[in-house]
Amino acid sequence: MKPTHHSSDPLDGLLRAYFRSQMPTPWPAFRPQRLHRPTAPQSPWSGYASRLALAASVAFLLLTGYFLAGGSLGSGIGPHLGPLHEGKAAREPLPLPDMPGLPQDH
Amino acid sequence: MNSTPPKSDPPCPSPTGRPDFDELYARHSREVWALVYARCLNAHTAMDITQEAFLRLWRDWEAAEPILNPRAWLLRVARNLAEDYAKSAFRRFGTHPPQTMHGVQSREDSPLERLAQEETFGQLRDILEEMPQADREVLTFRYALDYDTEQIAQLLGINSTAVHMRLSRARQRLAQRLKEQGIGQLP
Repeated sequence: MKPTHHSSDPLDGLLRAYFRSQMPTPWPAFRPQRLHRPTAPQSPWSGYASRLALAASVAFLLLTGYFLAGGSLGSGIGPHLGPLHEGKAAREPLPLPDMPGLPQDH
Repeated sequence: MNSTPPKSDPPCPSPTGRPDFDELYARHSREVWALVYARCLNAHTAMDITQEAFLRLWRDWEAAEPILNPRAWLLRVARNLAEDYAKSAFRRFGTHPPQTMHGVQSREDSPLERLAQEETFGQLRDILEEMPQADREVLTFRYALDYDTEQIAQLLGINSTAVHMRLSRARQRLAQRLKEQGIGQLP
């Protein structure tokens, strides 16, 4: 390497002073800690737990919607119980079936 | 300040087969900083980009990426980062970046002297900003790191004659502009 040449030229002095003033002093060390950003420790189940909670919420929402829809549209989509549950016929006793050995009521 | 001289030879490998990272940083961080500073003329930005370049080198080493010439790799990455920064800065601020006292640092103790020097350095910085980037590069390596012509030529991948010409031209231009601005009494 050639020896460093320091001239007495005022321009050299100005330029040297300028560039030296710009260089950080002391020279900073490498900061590799930027690689290790502080993050909260994560358990291996944390991802599953959040997904499970989301799935449970969606399932609850769907079931609630299903039952609510079933209640409001019961006459349309629910089981049809027939005429026994309607009007006067619903209050009359059911006729007994004919069975041998049993006294007849009429 | 006694800057670390340039080293063309690769750093000594550690027992793991890799050069010691701290040694690499000590050898080349000033070169990387100077290269970036010549482009952005902002000491803090140059240091941030220098750190980022070394951080990327570190990551690549952690990922076992083979890097045969860390010095060349660092200079290339730093150059790209500086260009990206210049583009983003241009998008944000246009042709006039935000400046505080011309973005010049000063460490003079006397407030009066500091103001005078900041004024001079600010004018010098403005002139440097008008100069071609190639001229700023040779000036930065010459005066910030005390590199000679051959060292600059090797670092920039050009021949010594070109470095000498650029240096001579840049100095002439600077002297003329400083004279025009009335900065005759140089320190």
